[in-house]
Amino acid sequence: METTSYFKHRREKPDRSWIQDEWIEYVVANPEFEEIQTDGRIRRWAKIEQANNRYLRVVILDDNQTVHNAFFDRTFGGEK
Amino acid sequence: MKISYFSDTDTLLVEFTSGDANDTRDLDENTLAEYDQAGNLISITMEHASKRTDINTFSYSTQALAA
Repeated sequence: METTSYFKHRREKPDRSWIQDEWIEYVVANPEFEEIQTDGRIRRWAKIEQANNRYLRVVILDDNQTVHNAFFDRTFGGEK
Repeated sequence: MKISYFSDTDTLLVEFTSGDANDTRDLDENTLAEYDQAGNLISITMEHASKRTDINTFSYSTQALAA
């Protein structure tokens, strides 16, 4: 999984380190929702069963593969 | 307070405390704020930072109350 330096830095903290690579890869490959930002970066969301079915938001660069951010999105209600 | 700049993505991270984020919210499409479990702001992430601020210049000062 290709990642940015920001992603690697945030991953060092416990609040992000518990987010599994498999979950991120799952969201990238199987998004339930997708939104293209004005800068071409891509937001994808999918529920993660192992995390009480919370929505994981993954932000990918406009190369469509490099992961820039991943966090459980409390504000996402499952609609886009 | 810790400020980090990630040049590969032009991302600026300002960390106010070392606490763990419990909630991440969009301030705008290119700005995220993170809060701890008590609702305290712990960090702000600003994307495309060089287009939004001068990343090459930083100043810090403490302002004293006038006598």
